[in-house]
Amino acid sequence: MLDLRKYNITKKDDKSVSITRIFSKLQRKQRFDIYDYNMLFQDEKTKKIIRNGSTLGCFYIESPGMRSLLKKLNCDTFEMLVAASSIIRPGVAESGMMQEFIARHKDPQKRKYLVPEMEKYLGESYGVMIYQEDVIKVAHHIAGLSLEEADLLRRAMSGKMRSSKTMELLHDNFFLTAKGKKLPDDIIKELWRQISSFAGYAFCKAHSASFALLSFQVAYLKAHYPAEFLASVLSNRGGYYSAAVYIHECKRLGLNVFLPCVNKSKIKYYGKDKYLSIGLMAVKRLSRKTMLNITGERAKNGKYTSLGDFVDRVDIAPKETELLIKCGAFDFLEQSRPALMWLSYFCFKSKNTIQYSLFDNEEYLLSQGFMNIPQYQVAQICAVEYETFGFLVSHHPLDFFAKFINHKKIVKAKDMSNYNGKVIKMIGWFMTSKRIKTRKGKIMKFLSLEDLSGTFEAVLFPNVYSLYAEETLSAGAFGIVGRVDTDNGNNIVVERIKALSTKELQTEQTKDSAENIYYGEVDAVHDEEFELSKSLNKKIINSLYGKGA
Amino acid sequence: MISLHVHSNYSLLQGTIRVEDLVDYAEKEGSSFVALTDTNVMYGLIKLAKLAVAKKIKPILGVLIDDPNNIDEHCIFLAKNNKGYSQICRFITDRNIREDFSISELFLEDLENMFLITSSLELLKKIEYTPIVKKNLFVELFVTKKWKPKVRQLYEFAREQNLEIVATHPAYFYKAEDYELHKVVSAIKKNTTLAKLEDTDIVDPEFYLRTPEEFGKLWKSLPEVISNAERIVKECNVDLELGKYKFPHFPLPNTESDAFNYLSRICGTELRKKYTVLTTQIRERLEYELRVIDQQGFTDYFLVVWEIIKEAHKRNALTVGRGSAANSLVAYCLNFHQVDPIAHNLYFERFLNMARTSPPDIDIDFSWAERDDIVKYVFQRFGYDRVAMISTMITFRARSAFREVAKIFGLSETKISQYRKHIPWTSAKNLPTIYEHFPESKSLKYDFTTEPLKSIVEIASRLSEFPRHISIHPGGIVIAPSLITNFTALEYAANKGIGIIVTQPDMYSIEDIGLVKIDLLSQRSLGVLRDSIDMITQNVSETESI
Repeated sequence: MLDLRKYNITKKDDKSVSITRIFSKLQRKQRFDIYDYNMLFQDEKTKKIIRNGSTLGCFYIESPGMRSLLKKLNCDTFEMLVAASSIIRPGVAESGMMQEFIARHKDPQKRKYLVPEMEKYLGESYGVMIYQEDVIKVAHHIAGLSLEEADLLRRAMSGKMRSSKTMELLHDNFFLTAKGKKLPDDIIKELWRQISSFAGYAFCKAHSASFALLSFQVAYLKAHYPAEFLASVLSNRGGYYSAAVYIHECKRLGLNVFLPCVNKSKIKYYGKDKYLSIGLMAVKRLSRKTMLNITGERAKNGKYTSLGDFVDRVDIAPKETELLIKCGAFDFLEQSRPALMWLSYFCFKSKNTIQYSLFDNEEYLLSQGFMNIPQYQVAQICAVEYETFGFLVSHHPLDFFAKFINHKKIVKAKDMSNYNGKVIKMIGWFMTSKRIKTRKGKIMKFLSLEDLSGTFEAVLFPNVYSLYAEETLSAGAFGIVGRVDTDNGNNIVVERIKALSTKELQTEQTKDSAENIYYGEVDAVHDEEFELSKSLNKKIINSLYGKGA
Repeated sequence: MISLHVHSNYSLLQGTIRVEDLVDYAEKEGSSFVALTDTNVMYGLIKLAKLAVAKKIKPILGVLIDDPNNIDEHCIFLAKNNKGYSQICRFITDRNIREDFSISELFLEDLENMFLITSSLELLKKIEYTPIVKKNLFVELFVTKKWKPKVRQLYEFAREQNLEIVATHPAYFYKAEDYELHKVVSAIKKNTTLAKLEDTDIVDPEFYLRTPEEFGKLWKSLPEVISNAERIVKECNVDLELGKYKFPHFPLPNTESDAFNYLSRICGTELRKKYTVLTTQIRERLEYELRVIDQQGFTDYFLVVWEIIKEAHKRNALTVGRGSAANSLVAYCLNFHQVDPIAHNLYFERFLNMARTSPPDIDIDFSWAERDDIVKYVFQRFGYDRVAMISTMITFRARSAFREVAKIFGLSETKISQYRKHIPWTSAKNLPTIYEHFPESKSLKYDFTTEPLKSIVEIASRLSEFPRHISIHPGGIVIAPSLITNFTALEYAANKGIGIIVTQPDMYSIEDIGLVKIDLLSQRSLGVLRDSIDMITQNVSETESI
């Protein structure tokens, strides 16, 4: 077939559906509209990766806790995704609301509605007021407060106004209007109790819904175009995890990961079909200017044919060239990297003298036996990769713990669920960790780990954490003895843990939920607002009790 | 009588008085006023005003401005009224942003609306004595052992030149013993150790808050300086109208005469695009929302955000709305977000209602590559003189306080980072007993209870929540109804490269003064969406042309 690109003619794509929306540029060619939400919500492949928690890389729904929750809820609808991303907020889970929601989700018998009418408003969340909007709905539709007052109640309950005198006014109004709706006293009391216990933790539904749309969009991309998607995640410097985690995810998804190459790599990561090629941007200490020089010159005058050719054409420092050689960006020359290092030395030397052609020189040098310099050892290659990219490409770091991981007593992540409730030994590599404070104020930690077969969560409850806290400050391999959680076959409840490598946690521990306890969105409430809303509600009270009341 | 010359810890790494403590101090001493005059900044002014007004104490808002080329030339400016306050904001902005700034040129400005107080003889000998300067200028007198000779000179100069005199007392720390803390922060500022700290790096040990009794005793023989101070206090009456919104004005196109009509029409048109079947319920809801928005005074604000989003989409930027705005049908029509509030049964009242006194939060996420472009547009569209990014104040936390204090005690970086590893993200207050609070800090017990670390963590804990340096808020941008410097001073956000100008007060103060912020945040996942789609488009077209 004729290659139209040669003639600079773009082929018209008749099959494409062009939908002009506000983002018209996106829809020109591909055969899907990423803003067609109904299509996204019904897409089987997308639903499947959400349901299975295979959402690493997907905005808002990629944390270990979220992925496990998605699995637990068998979540694959938009509504459920909105609910899931709300109940997993820090602090909310600890409040017991999440557990209540999961229980009711799994067992319809447990779905309770204080007043039958409530099912109409809270059916989506099985009677649990998970959203701030739910609190407003119940206070308004069931108890008869005005919408303004209902919002005020919600805000007041989540903030420090909770015990104030003005709050009493709101309380009295609530009972008054609820009575007007002919609700029995004990029901009103219980309704108030439920609202006060949920209000503080409820989350803004609109916010979650807006974000969940984006989650669905990126999940669709991951499901259908994993290579392009993960390349983009890496180019945008990831999300929740470090680049290493996404590189390993590529491999788990069966993608071939290619090292940077001066002849193939773009600046950004690039993915297509079954491969992902690391962009030049991954090479730390390579300046942006040099990257542009490499790709710009290549686009203008074609591929580089030899190291000499490269050095001749690209404005680059010797140090940077060595960096590229060491990490494999010249492997296409089919010379060992140490040989290329030598060659580089001569190339730069002759570049500065310009006495004779670089090409002759290179061929001459190669014919003099440089070809025979052996390649670096595997360990050295890995060390260079780690130093250059911050992650390993040709191997998984756990490969260096072969003695341990292949031991027959060590259980692999993919086999964990066969050991429900049993004590097992595992080896895992650090992905991320999360410290939280329990309701009793004790600190515990979730360590997200991976082995060559998959990912898993190591849970350190406070009593165990207090013994091993300092052991978990490292960020490498861990050996674990623990019991597989009967409730969640992907969790191991740690009994003993040991750091197997001395690699220290690179990132500064920053804010985490152990310090920042989440009490829902705390909005400011002022006394005058109570007065305002009181006056607004007069109409309702009048309509309920008539003018004489 | 308390001092009119006070530096809080917002005189970064120099003052050590917390604004809260300063106001409490004024209350305790039964003072009718409290003054704040930080060096070249107004970080704390709005906060001071808010706290003081709540206690029915009059806030005296001012600043000490020094000359960038000679810090011995300095002058305190106190605002007599709102106009004076605005002018002070502009002076501070000039001091921080203009390269050719020199303090003496401020004396050529219209100084009718402020008092000038200075103890700089060099400056006094340099400035031009216009009638207004003569009227509002006071030579600053205070008594400490160290300053005695200099103050005498000042007094004589004032008498010779027939200038007014006033008693103050420069305060940089609360109590005399807090001098130690002043030395600590000064060493941090100087990036040196306590042992190497020189006298010129620190202020007079007597620069603590003097009590009214002390003032009375010291100036018994010269009552004029006290009565002048009292006159200044009486004539300083700034009302920042805290809590009252100062909305931006939307510049209507020539064809429009009414903002509300314009907004309604835009929403109506968009509504027909969004819904194929327009029920009465939908129509009524839109009308109701528009009414509430208008009654609360947000119409112009919505038009402003609409125009920003419209421009972003015109430039093919991707956006996603965050926060409660997705509860609003109007916000949906204006494309602030993509959630259909009718289909998802969302409540407008959660976003905005007649009983709410706080402004609605409209936060829009952009892909990080596209956001800067939009921020630039906002500056161009609404005027560089009316727009600013909001700052955020970085404060000392356990790790940073520990590191800085350990450094000035001469501990090595290696040693420091060994300890720091065991300090989690927490308040610096917890440092002395941190091994009790956190399991990962257990091994610190011995060292932290033994010298020199015992003192180090003790001192570090006293720096808890102290402002450290200003940074840029991740997305907050503010558009003022008139010159932005009428409301707040500006400075360069030093840590983000040259060019970004931010408000000196942080978002809380900005909110208190009534400026409404819009959050334009950067969101990596939108970048992922953009890059993926681009790559897929390219790959698909390549495959198909083979």
